[in-house]
Amino acid sequence: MNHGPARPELRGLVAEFENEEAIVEATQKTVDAGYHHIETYTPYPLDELLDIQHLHKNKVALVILIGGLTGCTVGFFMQWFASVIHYPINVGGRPLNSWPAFIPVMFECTVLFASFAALIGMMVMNKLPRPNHPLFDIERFRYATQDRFFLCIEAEDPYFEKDATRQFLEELNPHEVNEVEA
Amino acid sequence: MTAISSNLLAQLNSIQSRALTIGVILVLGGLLYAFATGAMSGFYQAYLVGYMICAGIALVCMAFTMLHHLIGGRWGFVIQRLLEAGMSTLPVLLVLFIPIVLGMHDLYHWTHAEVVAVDPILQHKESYLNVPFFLVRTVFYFAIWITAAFLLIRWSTSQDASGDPGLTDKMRNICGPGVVVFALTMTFASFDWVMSTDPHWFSTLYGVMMIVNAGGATLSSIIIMMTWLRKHEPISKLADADRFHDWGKLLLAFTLLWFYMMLSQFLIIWAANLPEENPWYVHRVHGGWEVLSVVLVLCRFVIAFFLLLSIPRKRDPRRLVRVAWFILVMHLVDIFWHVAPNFRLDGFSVSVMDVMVPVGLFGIWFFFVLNRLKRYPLIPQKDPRFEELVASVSKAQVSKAKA
Repeated sequence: MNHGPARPELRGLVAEFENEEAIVEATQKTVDAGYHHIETYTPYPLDELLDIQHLHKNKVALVILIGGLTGCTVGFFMQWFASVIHYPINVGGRPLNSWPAFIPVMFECTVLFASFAALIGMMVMNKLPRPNHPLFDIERFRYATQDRFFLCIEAEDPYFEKDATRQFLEELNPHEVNEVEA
Repeated sequence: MTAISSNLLAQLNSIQSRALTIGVILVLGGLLYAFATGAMSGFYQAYLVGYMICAGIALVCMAFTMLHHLIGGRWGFVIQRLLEAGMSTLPVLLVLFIPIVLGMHDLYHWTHAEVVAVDPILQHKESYLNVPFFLVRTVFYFAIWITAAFLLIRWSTSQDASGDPGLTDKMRNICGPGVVVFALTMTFASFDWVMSTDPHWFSTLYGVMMIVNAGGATLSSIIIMMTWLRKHEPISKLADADRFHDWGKLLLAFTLLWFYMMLSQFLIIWAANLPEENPWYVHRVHGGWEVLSVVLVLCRFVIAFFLLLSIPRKRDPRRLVRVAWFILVMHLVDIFWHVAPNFRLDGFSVSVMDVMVPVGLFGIWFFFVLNRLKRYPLIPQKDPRFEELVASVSKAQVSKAKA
């Protein structure tokens, strides 16, 4: 069976830590060492990790704003087209383009488009839906949903070198270090 | 034992005396101007604007305190004493109501017997809109408000001494019905004091609108005060970026709610197009008032909304406080927009009194707020829920420092 072009055999290295403090410290050291393409997996959200990894700046927010503004505009022109161009009706002598009456629908369209932008933007940026992930091949990774904390340095990071990075992770006192296959 | 540090006390004293001096000078200046130009009616209009700003903030301080006792939440503890200081001014506001009683004939068209005699609509409303009942109602509102404020403040300060957790339940028990009573009394007070300046016109939404715009002004004042107080112990430990984020989010919510109320009232009246409801808006879109109407919606809603969307701005007190000042100034414009067009039917006009008197009255009122604030500890230390807050905040700070 043909598996296509040869894939890089390594996706990254993942280190397992036993508690909150250990992963926070390890992540800080990893960032300080210059690694950018890192990912942390914890059983519950850790605010400190967001700070260290600079994940507070959320690009989804911008997508939502654009979605909302688009919805607002679409909501207006939809009604404007219907009541001025397509099917003009005289309602109590009001002008055809009675924009105050359009505002509730414009608002609803804003919310609708913003919500879809939020959902779709989040999915696309997280590369979801994704039924499987190479990390799941690691036996112990299932504890990430229970009581263990994982730090992964990905192979695409410019500083990544298999042996040096493994040694770097070993020095952070993890429970163990595993290779993530691509 | 002094309640707050001497350094802070000295600063509060100096701000307090400046607020009173500037306030008295501005109000007296406005009064002199009114005497000199013979425009007493204009003075009373400006006074009503100023009065609604101060009373609105004091009352929403009470409403926020009640909400906070009911629902808890970290945003409330740090500002609880500030809110209590705000609502402690209610007896003062009862005294400050006297000029409005004196200016009744200038402010309220329906107090003139000869006008009512030839106006069938006002005759129908006479059983509600008459001077004795108006005064009785005002006293009645204040009796309720002052009692509630007195109890909440007393229990909270006596908890500082005794640490009795039962007092928290006591406060919570009166806050449930208290919120309902507040909404009703504030609604009727807005009907009486402001809506009846145009006695033919009515809107059932008016009271909520007054609560909501005062809510925005209250949050702005809180943010301004907190930006200053966070440099001092013990507020400095508690008012971190997360708290400013909370207040900023609430301010954004009130900005949205403000536009929601404005639009709801406008859309219903505009769609119905009835001659007894229309004139209020007709005044406000003609004779120069339309410019103010557009500026108001643009500044108080559109600009404020987009400014408050940004998370970094909400988390940075120095940037958030600028938005808060902006909204507080727009609140003055907002109340002016509610009051003045009812009197100035010939078209837009504004005099120096319209700025001097409200700002001056705010200064005098602020004197009494600080007078209360400086006498008690700045945080309710013995509240059982407060101890949990301190524990959680210091834990977050420790782990941040470690990281």
